[in-house]
Amino acid sequence: MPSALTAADWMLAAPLLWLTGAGVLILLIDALRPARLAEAVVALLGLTGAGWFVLPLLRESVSGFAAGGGAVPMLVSTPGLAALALLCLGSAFVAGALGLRRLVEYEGGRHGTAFWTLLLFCPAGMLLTLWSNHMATLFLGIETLSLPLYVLAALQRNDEHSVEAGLKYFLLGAFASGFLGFGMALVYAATGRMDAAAGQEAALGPMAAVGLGMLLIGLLFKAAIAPFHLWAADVYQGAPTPVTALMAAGTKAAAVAALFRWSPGIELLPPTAWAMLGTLTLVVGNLSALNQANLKRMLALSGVAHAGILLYALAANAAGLRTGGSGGEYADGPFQSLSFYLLAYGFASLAAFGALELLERHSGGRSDDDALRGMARRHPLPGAVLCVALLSLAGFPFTAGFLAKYFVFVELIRVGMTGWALAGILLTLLAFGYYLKALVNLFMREPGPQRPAMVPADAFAAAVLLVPAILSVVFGVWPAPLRL
Amino acid sequence: MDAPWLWLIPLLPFAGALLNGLLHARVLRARAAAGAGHPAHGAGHGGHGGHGDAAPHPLERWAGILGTLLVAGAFLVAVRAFFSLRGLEVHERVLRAPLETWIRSAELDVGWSLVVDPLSCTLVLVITGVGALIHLYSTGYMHGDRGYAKYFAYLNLFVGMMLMLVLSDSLVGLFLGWEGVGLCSYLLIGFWYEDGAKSDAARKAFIVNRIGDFGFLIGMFLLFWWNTGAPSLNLAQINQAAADGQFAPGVLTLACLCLFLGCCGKSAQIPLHVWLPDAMAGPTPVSALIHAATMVTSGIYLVARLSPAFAHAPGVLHVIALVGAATALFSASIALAQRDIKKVLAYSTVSQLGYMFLGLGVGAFGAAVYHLVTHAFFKALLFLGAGSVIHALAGEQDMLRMGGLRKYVPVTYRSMLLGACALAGIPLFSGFFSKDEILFSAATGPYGAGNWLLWLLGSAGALLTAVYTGRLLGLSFFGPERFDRQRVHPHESPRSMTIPLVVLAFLSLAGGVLGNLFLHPLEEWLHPVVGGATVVARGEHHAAHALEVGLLLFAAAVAAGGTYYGWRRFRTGVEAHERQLEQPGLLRTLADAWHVDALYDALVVAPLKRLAAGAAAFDTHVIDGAVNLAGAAGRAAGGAVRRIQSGFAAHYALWFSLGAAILLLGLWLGARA
Repeated sequence: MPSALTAADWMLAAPLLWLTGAGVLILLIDALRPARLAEAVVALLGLTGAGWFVLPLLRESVSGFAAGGGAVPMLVSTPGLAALALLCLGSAFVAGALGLRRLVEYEGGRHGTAFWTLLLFCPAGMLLTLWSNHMATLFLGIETLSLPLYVLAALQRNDEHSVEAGLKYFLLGAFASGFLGFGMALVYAATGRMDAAAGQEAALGPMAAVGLGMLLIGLLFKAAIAPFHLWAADVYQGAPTPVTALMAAGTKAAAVAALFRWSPGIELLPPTAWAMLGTLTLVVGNLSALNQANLKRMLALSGVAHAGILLYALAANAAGLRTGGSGGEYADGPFQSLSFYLLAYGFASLAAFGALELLERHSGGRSDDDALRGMARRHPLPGAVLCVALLSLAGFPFTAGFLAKYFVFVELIRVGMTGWALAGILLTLLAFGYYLKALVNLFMREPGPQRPAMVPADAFAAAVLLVPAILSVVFGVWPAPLRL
Repeated sequence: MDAPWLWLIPLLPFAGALLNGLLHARVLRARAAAGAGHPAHGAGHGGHGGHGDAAPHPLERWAGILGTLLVAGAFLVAVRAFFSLRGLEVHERVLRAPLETWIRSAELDVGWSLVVDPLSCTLVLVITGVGALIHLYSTGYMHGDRGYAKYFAYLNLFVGMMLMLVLSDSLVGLFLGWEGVGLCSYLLIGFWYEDGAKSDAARKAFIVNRIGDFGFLIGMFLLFWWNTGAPSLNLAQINQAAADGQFAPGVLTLACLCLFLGCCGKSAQIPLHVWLPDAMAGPTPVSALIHAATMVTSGIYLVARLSPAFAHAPGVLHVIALVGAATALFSASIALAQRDIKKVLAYSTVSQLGYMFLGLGVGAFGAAVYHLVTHAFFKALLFLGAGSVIHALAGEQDMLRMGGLRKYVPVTYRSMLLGACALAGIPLFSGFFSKDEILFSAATGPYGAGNWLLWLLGSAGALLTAVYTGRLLGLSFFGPERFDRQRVHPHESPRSMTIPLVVLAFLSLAGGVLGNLFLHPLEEWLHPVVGGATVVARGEHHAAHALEVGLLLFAAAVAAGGTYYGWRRFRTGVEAHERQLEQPGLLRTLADAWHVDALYDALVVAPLKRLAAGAAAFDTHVIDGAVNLAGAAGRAAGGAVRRIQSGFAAHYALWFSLGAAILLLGLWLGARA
């Protein structure tokens, strides 16, 4: 490895260093002179600063950390990936703003330090995953994002659901990591390569194929694609809602973007396979969400359905590669539609889970339909945010969610997979069934008896939540800036 | 010439609509906070039933002031536009306020800009000028209504939409305004919506207009789709394309016919005239502004705006002339036998619109627009005067229950007298000149012997117009007092209502004498816009001067004689007239508007209702059944899927492994092959 870092290396390293540096600083503060406010400020500044360093990456593609002094960069960022990186940082920020009261002050503030530190390490892992172009960075990224999430999910250790969520996520996550690591080993053994393009080689033997498959399964698990999605409902529901918001928006973006880069060649996994997997996920996610009487669990399962639509973008990409021509690793159209979808879904999820968190403070921490009945009328601001978020998730026109679906299906039709597009469009209509049901429950029913507020909602969290809600509408009518 | 400040013209009323809407929301909140002390609208207020049934909120006063001032401001901008236009060379008299492209898709490129040329400038001056006066009048008329701020919000919105209609440079923008004014008309007709009859009238207006709008849309599509040159929805380009012969002849005729169907709806021509008389359910200033002076003349504006295109579809012009002349006579006859003062004026409006279409149909586009302007003055005046009379009599609209009012409401009486003279076509009043010009153009039109039929229909209508105008005057202002003097104490209306009357009375008078004797300006003024089309439609010929004078004298005699007869006949002997109206006979048939509504009920409404009932049954049983079945199936399938979600991590790992096994097996086999 060359001794000196290049400018490109620094550009990519800066946000990561900033995040981990801020995390270490918080640990130091706690050890030397504990001050809760200082920790919060350092954490939020750390996230903001990292975002500042990601900004220049929005303009150009940057490759850094060329392994072995040679051809293969270990980290590659493109403008679209940088936008997703900002989304990951933003979701951590939102989680921090929301957790400010509920998690930081849990058990007398004993876990504040852990919360803030993990909240900084987790997005560092997401950024690594997004940019990974080498097995080492991919594995590092996945583990760095997962381990903090296991702990964060279980942070409310007196709440059995929270503990169960953390444990389940950890057990199954470890299982998936096994697949990821073993798959990498097999690919390396078969091809001698560790870069993302290894799977693109023409004639791969059975061993490499199985290795790539295992690697992919590890990522499919993180992205909650059926049948590797079963953890999602329990973990999303059990985890404290701010953490769920981070998982929904950030983890999904990192995992799906990695899936896009690490997807193997079309000889191995043809477009139809992606489309089938997507449709399966869409059907399973939608059908499971349809009967849910709990908003949080419904959102978790609908997230599975959204991952299914994202696979359609991968199918379109694969089909584009087959027809050759303008294909290539980042053939613009499919990746643009994918990143737009992730951003739209991310904004809406942050807004939805965030508003839910604010409402939960008045519903005794419950998120079932009965507890939330008419709550949006009683609390208009979170109600309005939740309304926008649910409409965007459902794909209502004039929201980013609508355009996101539109872009994906357009890509699919462009490569001639019209049948699959039609099936997908019809299946997404099912989603209106449960999103509108939730809206009816929130807005049109008489509110139940008022429950005492657990922790008071703070203005800061509410103000932060307005941002993704407003963006959901703005990019619904003006998508151009996000078509990166 | 670029003039971005033109945007102020529609934006000022739109701002008024927004502010008044917010104000109304505020008032509603204040009322809600004050408690349920105020009962909801009492059922069955009369014609101006909103009056005095709630203590006005202190803020509400501002709604009227704001609404009036903003429209007056738009008028001032329009005046500036007028002088800017005057300053330009005759054939360069166009001001533009361009903005972004609005819609671009393949060949379709719709701009979003405003254009002021002599035609739209004239209309804008009328809309904002008369509009401002009517807003002022409304501050008095609607005083104390619970929906005071809401009323001004709607009225401002209407003015803004109407301005978009006349200022837009494309058919799409025009259609936007067209629908917008339709919406406002609906909202304002049904302003006192707790009264079922009024909200029915609003729905009737909306539905009948939909039929016309359908024609409008089809016409618009035809003009775009069958343009063999460069398809465009820009009005100037459509006119140019028609002149260059870019449409197959049949297509242009069909498209213009479809557009004229739209005009029939909006401007209440046979057979779509039925909504306008019912539209009188709205507050009287609304009738004056929307259903007399401005919105209902949109059809005339559309034809005049596209006159170069219509001129190349002579068959359509023929239809327009016939429909116009027939409507003019037909509605004038109905107006003869109406008891409700507003209904008389409503049928009179339909009839006068018929004259305008007659003018358009014979190619006298300038004359039609001239009549549009004078009609806006005198008909707005008559409606406002009628409103003042109704106000004075605490809601009485039946002329047979009026009589002798001239000494109680002197200002109203005098101004209405002037307006009535203009309507009847008494010489020197504005209506005389404009109507005479239309009739003269009809007599010298391009249809050979048909000219005299058109002229005859028009002149017969003019005679009836004079008679019913005289009748209106005689019944309401002369003769014995037939209202209940114990209950009603007639009084002159407040200053805010009489000032607009006086101004409009002056305009009704001046629009004729000044317009014709000193300037003869409007024709020349409009020449750059419609002159070419007039030549195409009528050819370059000049009628004998003697004929013109002869027709003029004849028209004057008809008007004077008819009015005198109407006044004499109906000043007294009202009881006999009332009996005639109630017993079967010609007058009764006229009073029932030739039973057109009953005919429509039997032919259209009843079958449609049966069809709707059938469709509803199909919907509940078949469609809903299918949807419910799908929903039930979805839920059942969801139940099955949910069982997989057992909650045990080991089960999850099992499914995980199963999926992984299948995927890996597939990959392995694929790689071996």
